[in-house]
Amino acid sequence: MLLREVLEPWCAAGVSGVLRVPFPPGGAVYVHDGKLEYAECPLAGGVKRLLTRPGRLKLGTWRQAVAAGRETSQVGQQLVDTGHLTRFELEATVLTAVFDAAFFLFDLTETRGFEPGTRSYLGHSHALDVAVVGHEVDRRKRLLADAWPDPAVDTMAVRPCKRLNGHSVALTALQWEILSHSDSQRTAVDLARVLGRDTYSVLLEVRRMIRAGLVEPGAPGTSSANRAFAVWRRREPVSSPRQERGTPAAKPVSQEPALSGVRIPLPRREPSRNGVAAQGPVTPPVSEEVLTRLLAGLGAW
Amino acid sequence: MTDMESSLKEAMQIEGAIGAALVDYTSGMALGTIGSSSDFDLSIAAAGNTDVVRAKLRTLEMLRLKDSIEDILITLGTQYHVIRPLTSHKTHGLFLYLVLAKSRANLAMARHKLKNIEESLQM
Repeated sequence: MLLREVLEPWCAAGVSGVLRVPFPPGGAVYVHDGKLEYAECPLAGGVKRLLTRPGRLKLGTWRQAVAAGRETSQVGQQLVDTGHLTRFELEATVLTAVFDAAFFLFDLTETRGFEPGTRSYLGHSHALDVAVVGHEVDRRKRLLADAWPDPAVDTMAVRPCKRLNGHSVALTALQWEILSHSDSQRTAVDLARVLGRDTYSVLLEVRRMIRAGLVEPGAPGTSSANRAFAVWRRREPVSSPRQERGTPAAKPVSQEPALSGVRIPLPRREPSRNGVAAQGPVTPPVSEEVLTRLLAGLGAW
Repeated sequence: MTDMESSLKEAMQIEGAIGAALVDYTSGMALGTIGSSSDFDLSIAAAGNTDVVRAKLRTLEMLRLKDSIEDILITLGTQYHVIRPLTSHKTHGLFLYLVLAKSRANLAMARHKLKNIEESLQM
């Protein structure tokens, strides 16, 4: 049973507590009154990384807030009250962290029993519907596969291409950070840590940059973060199509040769778990025409 | 200092507003939406508009225009869509997205109010 499925009855019952993942990569999902309040996973960008790495908060400030607010589950509130963060910044950071962790945790199958009552040290910032988070996780997985179909590139060192395809290139801020920090050893996972970004955004952007001919995959990464990522990929039933060779029933499409550069149909799951179908069992919420146009737009990028 | 929900609510007070969202333009994820309905899923619209913003930013770069996007207006038959990238370093990589009913909206006023909402988010 997937973690998100384990969560559902607890959320439906409106309880509070935590669901932990005891095996690597590890992590936890905190529920408060049936709503998802926080999620963390060592592979994902937690609030601490997102705030302290890019220099938004000094490490000392973070530690002070944790010391003052941990016991009462008010670390977030503490940072706002002391004027170090605006309410909106806290919300945006927590949301980024929660969705990043959910990306890694929601489709794992080994969970420990639900521990009622436990709250996250961060405290209340946002209450999310588990189904909404689930849809976003599905969307992210599709977007990642669309950007570049071969998941193996996620754990390979990022190397800037020696030459451009054209005469000039325009970069977003994140692309610039990735290029300026890629040293032919760091992988996307390493870069996310160094940059203090959420892991998913860097995974996605690196795949897009490979497609755009800005960077290329080098040697396999060797850091402990990469080993943890590889362990996750093996445990994760959905986003690692190669591993499912042996189980024809669930076999997705993406078995083509690596780095072909061809846009391969997405590894779809059973229709009921597909993002659109899940939102409304009978009619999709948006007309087919709009969806087709959106998908075409995404593909064009 | 404003939180996300009250900013989105404020956006919905703009005359003619049908929906609003705050979107991360790397992932296309809507951090918050208001006014989503079965006819108009703002999360999907948000994800699609991410590509609009990225494409426009690239075009500006390629033209070597040393300027930034204040907002992007898309005019449909019955709606206006206004996209406003947030500019401060704290909120970098996010944009506000506002959907207006063309028949009821005052575009100049809506753009002005959206600017104020952006400023209040960045304070």
